[in-house]
Amino acid sequence: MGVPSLPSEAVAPPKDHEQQWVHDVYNEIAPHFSLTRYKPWPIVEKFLGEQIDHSIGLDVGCGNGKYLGVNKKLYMIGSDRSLGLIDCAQSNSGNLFSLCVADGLHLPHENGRFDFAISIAVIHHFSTEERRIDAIRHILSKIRVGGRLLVYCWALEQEKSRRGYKEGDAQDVLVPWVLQKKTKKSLKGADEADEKSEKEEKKVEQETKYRYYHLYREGELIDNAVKAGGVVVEHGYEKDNWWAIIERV
Amino acid sequence: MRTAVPAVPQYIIWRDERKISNRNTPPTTQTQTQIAHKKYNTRNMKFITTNFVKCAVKTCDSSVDAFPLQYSDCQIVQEELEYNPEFIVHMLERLEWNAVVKVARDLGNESLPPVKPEGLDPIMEDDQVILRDLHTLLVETQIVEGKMVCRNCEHIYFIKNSIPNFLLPPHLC
Ligand SMILES: C[S@@+](CC[C@H](N)C(=O)[O-])C[C@H]1O[C@@H](n2cnc3c(N)ncnc32)[C@H](O)[C@@H]1O
Ligand SMILES: [Zn+2]
Repeated sequence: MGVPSLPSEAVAPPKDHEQQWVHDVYNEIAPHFSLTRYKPWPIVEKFLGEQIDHSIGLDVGCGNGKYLGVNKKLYMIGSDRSLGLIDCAQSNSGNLFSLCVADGLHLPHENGRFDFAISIAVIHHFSTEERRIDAIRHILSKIRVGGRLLVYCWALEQEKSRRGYKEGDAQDVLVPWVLQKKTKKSLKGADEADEKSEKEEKKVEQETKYRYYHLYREGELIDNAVKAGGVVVEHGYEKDNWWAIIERV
Repeated sequence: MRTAVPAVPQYIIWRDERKISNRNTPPTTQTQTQIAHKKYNTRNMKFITTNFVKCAVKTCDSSVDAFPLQYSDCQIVQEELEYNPEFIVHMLERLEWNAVVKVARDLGNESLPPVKPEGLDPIMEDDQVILRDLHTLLVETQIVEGKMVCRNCEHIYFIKNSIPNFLLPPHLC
């Protein structure tokens, strides 16, 4: 069903690979992608609900900011590498939280200043194990000792999902995103639309963008967290993702 | 946008009597609608944000000059937002007051008290005035455009459309 994933062979340096297969793509698909993101995942909602009132926290790779307003008693700063998605977050915000454009490996915050952090479906976009571990270590450094970080990563084991990845498959993949630009084009006005541009429109409509993912196998996230110097206090599997709550020690 | 430094009130950078009202206030004319939606309804670089961001360059991590950043060429607006005294009281505990004073000075207010106001109680009338002013300063005062400069490495970050951008050029990351 749908467009199949492709194996990803990183030939370029990791940063360039991520620029091409992650950052450029998110900026292009931002408005469309944002529309699909509104429902909070239960474990994330629970984690945010459990934080002490008036705690301050980070959402690293916040995308369109769907988690920033979940618990109104918290003050959160959302950051993302994609200006396009931060723009979406700003429009969605109703002005309740703070946002910035930043890279998850170079966060513009003081160390130890925050009580908690979340990074939902972001770490799997780093293309080497070293960078994935570094990212966890870096986010942990921003929270106080005893503070907790919730991480979600896409799982390799998702046989029941429509993508059907499973144990033994390649872990580094390019996952298709089918862009539907149609509405945008037709807004341009019917008088401009001669036959040629109608054909163009069809082409645009079918455009498929690929995003790079590293699919986590069972136990891998915990292993990364420990290598990053954290202590895993809780972990599990939810909706095709592995998650872990990692405490800074 | 703003020239002189007002002597009073203490906490407020300047008081914009034409405060931009939020989306709950129905706009009266077509033009106002446009302004409300296009320009003034979605600001996120609140003054308070400046207290939680620093230079992103690794080598500046251990420098005391990397926080707060120095703000210059800033265009500021004030937007009316819901007043939540609880929030201000609790945030105050977590703020680096020296940084608040420094950034306020960058933006033209030299009159903030050097010591953080402590133990404010929303029930006390005198405290209410201060909390209100702090609300205006921290939450309602927002930077739309401007520059943030690291006092250590001198790297310049930009704020555009009220979004601060901390992405680094390749040679710095
Ligand atoms: C699958 S989306 C998840 C967004 C959001 N956390 C959510 O759960 O809806 C992945 C996000 O990670 C961001 N991202 C990817 N690489 C990043 C990096 N190096 N630093 C910060 N954000 C990054 C992308 O721009 C995108 O917004
Ligand atoms: Zn610096």
